[in-house]
Amino acid sequence: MKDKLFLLAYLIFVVFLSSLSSAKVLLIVSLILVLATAALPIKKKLNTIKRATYVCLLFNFLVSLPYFLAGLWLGQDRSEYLLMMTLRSFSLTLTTFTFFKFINLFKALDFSKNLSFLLVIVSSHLLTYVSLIREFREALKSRTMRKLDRRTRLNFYERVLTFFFERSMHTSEDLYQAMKSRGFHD
Amino acid sequence: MIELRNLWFKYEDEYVLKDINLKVDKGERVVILGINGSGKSTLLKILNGLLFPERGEYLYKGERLNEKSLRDPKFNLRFRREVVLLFQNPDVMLFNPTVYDEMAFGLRQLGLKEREIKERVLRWSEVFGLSPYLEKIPYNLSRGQKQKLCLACLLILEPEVLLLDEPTSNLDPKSTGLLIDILQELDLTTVISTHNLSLVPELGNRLVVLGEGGRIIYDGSVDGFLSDKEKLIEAGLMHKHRDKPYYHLH
Repeated sequence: MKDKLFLLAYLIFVVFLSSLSSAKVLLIVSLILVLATAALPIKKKLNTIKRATYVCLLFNFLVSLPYFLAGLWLGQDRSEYLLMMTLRSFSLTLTTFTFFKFINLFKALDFSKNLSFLLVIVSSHLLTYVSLIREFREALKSRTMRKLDRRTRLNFYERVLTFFFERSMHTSEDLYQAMKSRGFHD
Repeated sequence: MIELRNLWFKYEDEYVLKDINLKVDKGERVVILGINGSGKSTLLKILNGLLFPERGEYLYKGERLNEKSLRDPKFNLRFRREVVLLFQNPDVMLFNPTVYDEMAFGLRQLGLKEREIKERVLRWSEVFGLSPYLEKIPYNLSRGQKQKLCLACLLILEPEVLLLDEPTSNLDPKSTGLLIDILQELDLTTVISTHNLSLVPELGNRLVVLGEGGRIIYDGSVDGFLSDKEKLIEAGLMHKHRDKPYYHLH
């Protein structure tokens, strides 16, 4: 029950954060979240804050910054938007990372068979892929004696991407057949 | 050649290797035996300088090996050429556009001339029966061929220590037999991990057994271990079924 309540609280808080549009309020909320994360009895607090910052920067780099630059190109000042989006993405990410230290998602979603099933599939894929990516990187490191040139690195990344694409296709096919055999499509 | 002293390693909060002391001399053929999750792969990755212990030290030819020593380009070049690891899943090792390029990958890093590279690739591809596939895409080969290709990529460097992580785990009996033949012909220091008890006598002459708690529970001759029922049970390699009162091996 505890996990379900935490999940509900998390969802309500996410909606609340998404509704905020004042940079000042978002700044205050972000600061409170950082302090709360630091004060809560969780492991690797600093790491959690760092990860939230990196995710926020990545989001900014891929989404907010291009939008801001497009604004500059069109002669519009979107700096306030950039600040608001930065604070919002940071607070949402930190909220997610912190809340999920307390939520066992498997327990929180056990009211629905379909959701539990989906969660098991997604998490098992994620774990497998994370471990495979680690293996790919270790294998490359193991075979690397000198700094690699750009072409070799591109070959490596291309191979990793192709591998995961092919693997996803293969797994999806397996999954489809498994679900079909259990009567999902009848 | 290789020495691990009081080595401890942990993932997150859990120690997977505890107080490991292991000395491997030149030319030895060591088999690391243990059930799944006993820390065999972790141990091999430590020996290959991919993971670093929480406590204890690793000496390679008397030199301490750690993240700092591997940052030295000269040492890194020498170590990576001399100590090579065959991963359990060959797919993670292959990324070059052709089998030829895959085999030439290490040699090109060593700065050899293209003529010598070609000569070595042709020689080793012949040894492993890969000559017809030199222009093929490596990842489209069969599982057994990929395994052979990965091994060829390592042996072409003429290493001194060969580490193999469960090399037969995904192979059919015929490919397993071929791989064992190749391994038995090599005159190298080898450390091979496996959970397959029946293959141990064919893979090496010294056995190191990792127990479920991440400690070495046996280090000695293969025969000595196979005749020690208590140790076999402790290592989780011998068990009894619910309907049978006696312990047995599979």
